[in-house]
Amino acid sequence: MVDENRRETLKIFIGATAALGIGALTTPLVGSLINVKEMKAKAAHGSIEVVLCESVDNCPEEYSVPIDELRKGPKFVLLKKGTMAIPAVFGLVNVGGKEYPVAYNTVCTHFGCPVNPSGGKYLIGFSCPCHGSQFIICTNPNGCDGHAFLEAYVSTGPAPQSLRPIKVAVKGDRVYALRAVI
Amino acid sequence: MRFFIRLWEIIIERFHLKEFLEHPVPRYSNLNPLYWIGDVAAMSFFILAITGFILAWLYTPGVSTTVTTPPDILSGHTTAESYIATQSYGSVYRIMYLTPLGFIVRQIHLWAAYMMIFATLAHFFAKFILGSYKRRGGGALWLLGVLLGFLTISQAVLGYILPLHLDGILALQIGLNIFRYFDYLGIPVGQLTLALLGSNFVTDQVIKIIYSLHILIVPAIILVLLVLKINGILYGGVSPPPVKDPAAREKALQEKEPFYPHRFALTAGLLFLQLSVLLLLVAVFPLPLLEPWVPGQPVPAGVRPPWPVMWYYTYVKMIDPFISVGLPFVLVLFALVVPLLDRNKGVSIEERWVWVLIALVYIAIIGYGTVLGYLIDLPKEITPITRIAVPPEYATPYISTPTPVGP
Repeated sequence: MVDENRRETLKIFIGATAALGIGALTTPLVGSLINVKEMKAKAAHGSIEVVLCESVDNCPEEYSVPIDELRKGPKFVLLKKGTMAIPAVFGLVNVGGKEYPVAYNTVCTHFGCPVNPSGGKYLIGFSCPCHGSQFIICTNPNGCDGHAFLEAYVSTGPAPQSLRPIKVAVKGDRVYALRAVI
Repeated sequence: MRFFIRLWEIIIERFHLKEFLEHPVPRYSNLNPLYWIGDVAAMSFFILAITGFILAWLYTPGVSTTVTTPPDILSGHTTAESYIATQSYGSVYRIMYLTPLGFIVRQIHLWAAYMMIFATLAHFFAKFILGSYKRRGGGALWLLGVLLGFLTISQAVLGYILPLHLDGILALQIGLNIFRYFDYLGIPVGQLTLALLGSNFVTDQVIKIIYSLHILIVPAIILVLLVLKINGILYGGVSPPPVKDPAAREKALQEKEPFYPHRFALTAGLLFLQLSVLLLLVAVFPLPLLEPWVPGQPVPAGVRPPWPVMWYYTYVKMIDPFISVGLPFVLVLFALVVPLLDRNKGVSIEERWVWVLIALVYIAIIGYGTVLGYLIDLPKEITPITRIAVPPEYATPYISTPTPVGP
C-alpha cells in the first residue's frame, strides 16, 4: 500500500533539490557568460590586453632585460602573469643610428607557432617556422603603408595581422615590459 | 584441476555469461571483412590502455627545463652528451632509451594509436557504404560512432603533444590558437582558452590538464561510449546484409552462429594478427623520438604534422584559413546528419549508389589532402580564393611609445 502523503513529500524534496541544483549550476555559468561579453567588449577582438605593470617605477625585474644584453642581440623572456605565460622577444631596432627598444609576443597570429627573430645584433623581423609567414618591423618613423612605426607587419605568408606588440619603457639601464597583447 | 573447472562453471552460471557467449551472431557478418574493422579499433583501444598504463608510471608532465647528462650505457660512448630539454621530454627520453623494454612499449603505444585511427576511419567508411544507420537503432549507434571517432582523433593529438618534442609543441601551440579565427566571427575562443586553461602559451598547468585529459577524461568517455555501443549492437543486431533481393536478405538474417566460439575465434584471431603486425611495425619502422624543444630556442622550418591530421594541414595551407579552419567541424557535422538526410530504405549498393558516391567523395577529401601533404611542398596559396584581410577594427595596433636609447 502506497502512502500518498509520503510520496508527495518525497516529490517536493526531490523537486526542491533539483531546482536548487540547477540554480547552483546555472548561476555561475550565466555569470561567466555575461563576464565573457564584458571581456569581449574590452578586448580588441581576437586579442586580449594584459597589464604586466601599471608603471615602470614598480615593475619587477623579471619583466625586464638590461639594455647592454640587448646590444648583443634579441633576447627571449617568458613573461609570467598569474596563470599566463607570454613568450616575448626583446630587441633593439636600429633606425638611422638610433636604437629603439621593442618587444613582441612571439605567438604567430596565423596559427600560434612560436616565431623566430631574424637579424643579427639588431632586430629586423620575425619568421614563422610552421607556414612561412614573415614579419618585418617598420623602421620608417612616418609609418609604412598603413602600419605604425615599429609595428611588426606581415610582409609575406598567410598570417592575417601584425605580430602582437608588447609596450616597453626604459628605466635606468633596463627595458621593462608594461603591457602585452595576447 | 577439477576445482578450477567447477569455479569456471560457477562463474559462467552466476554471472549469466552463457547467454552472452551463446548470443546469436549473423553468419554473414562473420564472413564479410567490412564487419570486422570495428573489432580492430576496439581491440586497439585496449592495447593502448595497457601500454599507456605502463608509460604513465614513468612519464612526468612539466615544462621546466633541465640540463641532463644521461648515463649513455646503451651506445657505449664514454663521453655522454648532455642535453637541455623540458621535464616531459626528459621523462620520455628516459622511457625510450634508459628503461628496459621502454622503447618497445612506447613504440607499440604509438603504432597502436595509428592503427586505431586507421581502423576507426576504415570502420566509419565501411558503415557509411553499408548504410548501417538505416536499421532500427542504427542512427543512435552511428551518432556514438561519430563521437568516438572525434574522441579518437582528439586523443591522438593530445598524446602527440605530451612528450613536448618539437612537433608536439607546435601541435599544442596551433591547437591553442587556431580556433581563435572564430574570434573574428564574434565567438570569444581566445578568452575561453584563457578561462579554461589559464594561458595560450604552454605552461605547467596547460600540460597537466592535457595529461589528465589524455590518461583519464577522454579514455573514460571513450570507454563509456564503447560499452553503450557494444550493448546496442548486442541487443539491436549488426547492420543488415547489403543485398537487394528480399528473399536472400531474409535468408542471410536467419542464418545465425553463436558468439562463442565463432565470432570469439574471429576477434581473437584478429587481435593476434594485430599484435603481430604491431610488433613487425615496431621492428621494421621504429619511430625515433623527435627533437627536443626548449622555450625561446629557434624552431627549424619545415616541420610537418603526423598523417592523421596531414589533410587538415594541406587544406589550411591551400585555402584561406578564414574558410578552411572550420573544415573538421563541417565534416563531423555532415557525418552526424547523414542518417537524417539518407532516408531511403534500401541497403544494397545499386539502391543507394548516390550515398556510396558521397562516401567516396568524403574519403577522397581526406585522402587527397593526406597524399598531397606528403607529395608536394605547398605554395602559400594555390587556389583562386584570395586571402581575406582582417577587418581594420579587429587589427591590434602597435601600442608602444617609441623612444630611442643610448647616445
